[in-house]
Amino acid sequence: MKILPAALIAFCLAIAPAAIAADKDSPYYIDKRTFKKQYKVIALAPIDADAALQMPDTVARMIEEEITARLQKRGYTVLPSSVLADIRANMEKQVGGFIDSETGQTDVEKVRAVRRHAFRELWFRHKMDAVSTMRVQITQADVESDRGEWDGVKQSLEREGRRLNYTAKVAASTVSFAIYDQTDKPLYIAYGGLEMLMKRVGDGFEQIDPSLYFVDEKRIRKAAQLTVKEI
Amino acid sequence: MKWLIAIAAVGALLFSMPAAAAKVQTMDKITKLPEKQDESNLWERASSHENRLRNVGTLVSHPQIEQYLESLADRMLGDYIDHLGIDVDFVVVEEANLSAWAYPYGTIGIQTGLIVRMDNEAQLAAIVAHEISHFLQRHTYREMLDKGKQSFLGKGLGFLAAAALTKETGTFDPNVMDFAGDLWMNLATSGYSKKNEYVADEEGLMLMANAGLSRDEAIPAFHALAENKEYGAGDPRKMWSSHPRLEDRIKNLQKEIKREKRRKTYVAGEIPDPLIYYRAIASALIVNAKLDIEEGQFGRARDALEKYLMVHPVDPQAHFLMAEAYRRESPLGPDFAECTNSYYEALEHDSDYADAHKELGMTYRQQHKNVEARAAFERYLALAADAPDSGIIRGYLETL
Repeated sequence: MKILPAALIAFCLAIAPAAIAADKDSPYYIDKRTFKKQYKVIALAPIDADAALQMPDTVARMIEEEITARLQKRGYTVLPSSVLADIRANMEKQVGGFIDSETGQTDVEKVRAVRRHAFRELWFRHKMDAVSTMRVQITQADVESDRGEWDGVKQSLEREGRRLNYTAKVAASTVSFAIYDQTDKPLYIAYGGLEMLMKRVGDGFEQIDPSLYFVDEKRIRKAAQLTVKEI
Repeated sequence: MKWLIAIAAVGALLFSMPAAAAKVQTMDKITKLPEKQDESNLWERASSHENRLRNVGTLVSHPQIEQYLESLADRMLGDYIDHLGIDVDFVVVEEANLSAWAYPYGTIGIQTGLIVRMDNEAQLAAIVAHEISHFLQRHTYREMLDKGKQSFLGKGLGFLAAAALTKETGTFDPNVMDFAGDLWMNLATSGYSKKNEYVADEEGLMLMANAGLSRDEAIPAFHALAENKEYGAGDPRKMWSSHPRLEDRIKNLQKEIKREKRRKTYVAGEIPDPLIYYRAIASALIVNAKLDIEEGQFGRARDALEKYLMVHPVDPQAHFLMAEAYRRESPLGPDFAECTNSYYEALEHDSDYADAHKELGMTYRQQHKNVEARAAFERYLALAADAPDSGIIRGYLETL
């Protein structure tokens, strides 16, 4: 029995382009041994999140802590995200801020310019081998009879109403961690499932109140750990 | 009625070709239209998809190339186009990977990545003819009747269109995605049956012959598709990958061409001048070079730009993009000669090309050649004082 409404299919699939992943079996885009040999110093970019998730800063810190700890344990030198954040902050000042004084709107061109120059400046100033991005994003979980499974985790779906046997794809959040070389070529992309974003109400799904996202620290840290377990 | 005319016309066309191979299933064998309402529904869904794709705007903006493709299709269909009752027309999609598909009512979708990888008109004709054949043979409809296809969840062009929209606007339009599961698209992206792909390949050769084009050129065209399988591994938009093995299809085409050559009636076709082709597809060459650079396919970008520069040698933008392809392939050096030379080429043809001055400045700064960097940045600021990054460039100048 399928109970997924069409609008939710669209919602779930909407995030899919951002989630184009490497080979399912390996997060590495190059030979793992070559990666370990050639890339020793990795700079972290500040963690980003889909706006709809309203992610608190404390979550970003937890995720960076977990990823940094694993990388360092494996012998990598890590440049914290604050390095790039400082470069960005300085450039934001140089462009006179992102808000257009006339329209009161964000100047997207300035945002893009800062983003582009900041990465180039990071490479110019620091002799790192690779740069990594971390993002908390919306994805889709395979759900079978209120049991969701995606990106290495399982979670029971909250429900209101009687038990049903069904299969569906339901919105969930996941942490992505990617490492790129100087040409922006991906070297490693991995995902760690975080939590379900919807609950079942009767024979349909409803979004969980965003204020209830990110309340389980254990799940957050586990999601981050999953992204680097192959490092 | 329209279809009956089309069927009769295509049947006559294919029968009239001396090269027609016996095993090719020609339209004359279709004696009635089954499930008319089903087919009509299929057309409607496909048409809805095409309209949405066209409305994306930036995704489709090559009317000259579409006209060129239409004229190529007319030549392949010959006099029979007048009797067909349905125009074959084209929609060009700006995407770097190699793909083409047939809407069931005769519109052919083709991506710029495919257009630019072809080296002459005959090679493009091989792909176009293959897709025209899918339309003429009503393969989408025929396979719709195969119930096995009906439960397949599509991840094709809806996915692609939505991805492109996200890239362009930073927002996602679920309306574009809503039809991702459309059956016709599933067929176009997951591939028709092996038999139907072979039919389209072989019938494609006949259409090429009809236009007087060398059928041998189908081989490099399909090799280019096969090479594409290495590109973007894991990318669900990589549509050709799930068709029958291209290597097998190439072998089949080679056999077919060999067989044709043994016939007394065989006429070797023309291999058209590549320069005429490059001129016709110039806008796609530039657009696709940009896409390839963004996707880190620097060699492909340079290949396309070299083709473009053969017909537009003094275009500053092409030289600038060539420089970008070199720089981004090796942004930290140590050799900056090729990108620097190309920036200077761009400036030779347009001394006020602000971005070329800026990138030249960035390249010199990277090499700690501060005097040259300062001169280039100052020129950039003189030309683009209000550019979004002018403040950042002023910041660089303070450190030089």
